[in-house]
Amino acid sequence: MTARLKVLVVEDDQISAELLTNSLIHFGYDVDVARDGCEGFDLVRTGRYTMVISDWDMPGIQGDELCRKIRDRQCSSYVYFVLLTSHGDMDHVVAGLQAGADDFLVKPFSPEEIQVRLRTGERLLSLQSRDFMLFALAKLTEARDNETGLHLERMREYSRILADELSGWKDYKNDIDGDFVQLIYLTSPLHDIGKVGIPDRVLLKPGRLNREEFEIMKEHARLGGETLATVAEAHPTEKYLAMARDIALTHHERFDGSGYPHGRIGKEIPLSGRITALADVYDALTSQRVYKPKYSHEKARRLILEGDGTHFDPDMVQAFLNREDEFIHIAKLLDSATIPASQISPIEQNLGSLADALH
Amino acid sequence: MGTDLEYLEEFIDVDDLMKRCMGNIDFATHIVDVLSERCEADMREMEQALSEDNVRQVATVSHRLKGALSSAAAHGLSHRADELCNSANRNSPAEMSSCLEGLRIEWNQLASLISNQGTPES
Repeated sequence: MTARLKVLVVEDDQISAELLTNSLIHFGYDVDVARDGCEGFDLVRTGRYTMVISDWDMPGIQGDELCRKIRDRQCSSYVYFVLLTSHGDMDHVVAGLQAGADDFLVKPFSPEEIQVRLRTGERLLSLQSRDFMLFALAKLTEARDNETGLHLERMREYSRILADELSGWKDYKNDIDGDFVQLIYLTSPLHDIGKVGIPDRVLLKPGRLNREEFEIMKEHARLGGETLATVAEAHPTEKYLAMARDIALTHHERFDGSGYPHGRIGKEIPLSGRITALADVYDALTSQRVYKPKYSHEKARRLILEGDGTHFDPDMVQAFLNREDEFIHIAKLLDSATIPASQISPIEQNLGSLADALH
Repeated sequence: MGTDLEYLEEFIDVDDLMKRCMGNIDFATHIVDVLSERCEADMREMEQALSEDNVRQVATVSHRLKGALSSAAAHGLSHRADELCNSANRNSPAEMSSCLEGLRIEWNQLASLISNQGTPES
């Protein structure tokens, strides 16, 4: 049985409140009513409501102020806020949007209009749930790994920066738009999801992997890619699944064909894979791991330039150079050097090659 | 749409009201009852406020009443309440008196219909 969405109606006019409530119950929502903004805010604070429909003109806290207070509170989950008003003019629309409202209903409203607008809100809320679940899944994978706590957060920021930079290049205009940038931010944390299939003795080994172990570790790209490919095939219209599959499968491919799992060359590697390859390596280089120290940005930059055209697509390297200030900023902002230096083996501290940066 | 509320058609768009009530005649009848109570109370509140030169209160109540009447598909009365609200916002006492008087007359006619279930008082 599906839980009914809880909607809070904040309305001082009894007739509008009753009509609205009747329609919402008819459409399958669970409804409570607050008679003014203060009561409405107290109810929202209980965390029970995913949607609020509030009148604008009320005694005490007005609708736009209520919306602002809810947004300022930064609830743990998003509250979809619809302002109900008899003011349909542009000034009010702008003021409402500035307060953080998601939509407007102009009185007198029709039940069908309410239904359509709330379904839009439901779609937005379900997307939020999808995004949370994807990231939670990625964090679950990471929890088994030795990598530092905020690797996924940094990785998706680096990927977003690179995609955003390329979106302004003539050669990438047809491939990268705002949607692509958002999708890579959403899906890049899933790059190592295949590591759930790697045995602990390999995944959790606190030092350098031997040849046999490395071959096992390399399987994570294929495992992740194939798992997501199965889901993507079942849901061909979901672009994010296709991108997640490409990233998981190809983020260890190298531009010169020397990568894994398939040794793809150049543009055979999907764009999302070429972007995340650089983002992943940069983060590995500038983070402290149990098998290597944290390198400076300058050293990471030098190593990435050494991989220009061999490990990395030259365009990705140029995009990185164009936006390297933002990489430095993100690395500082999301720094999580949680591993004490004493845990790093002295031998491994001396490893400085690009290959050592990544398992 | 044939309903028991057809006697209100001079003042209320009954088809529109029934649509807003999802076709539920009992609920529509309840809304008319609530409208009857609320509107009379709001009318008195505005008349009191006007006699005390409380323009802001007239504006607040007339705005709320406009919304209630509009939601109940009493569009003509809602328009009159809107005119009253606008005159209050312009702080025009003469205009407010005239608008409130017109609203009162029309509301009394509707209230009479409601209380007599379609048989106006002579």
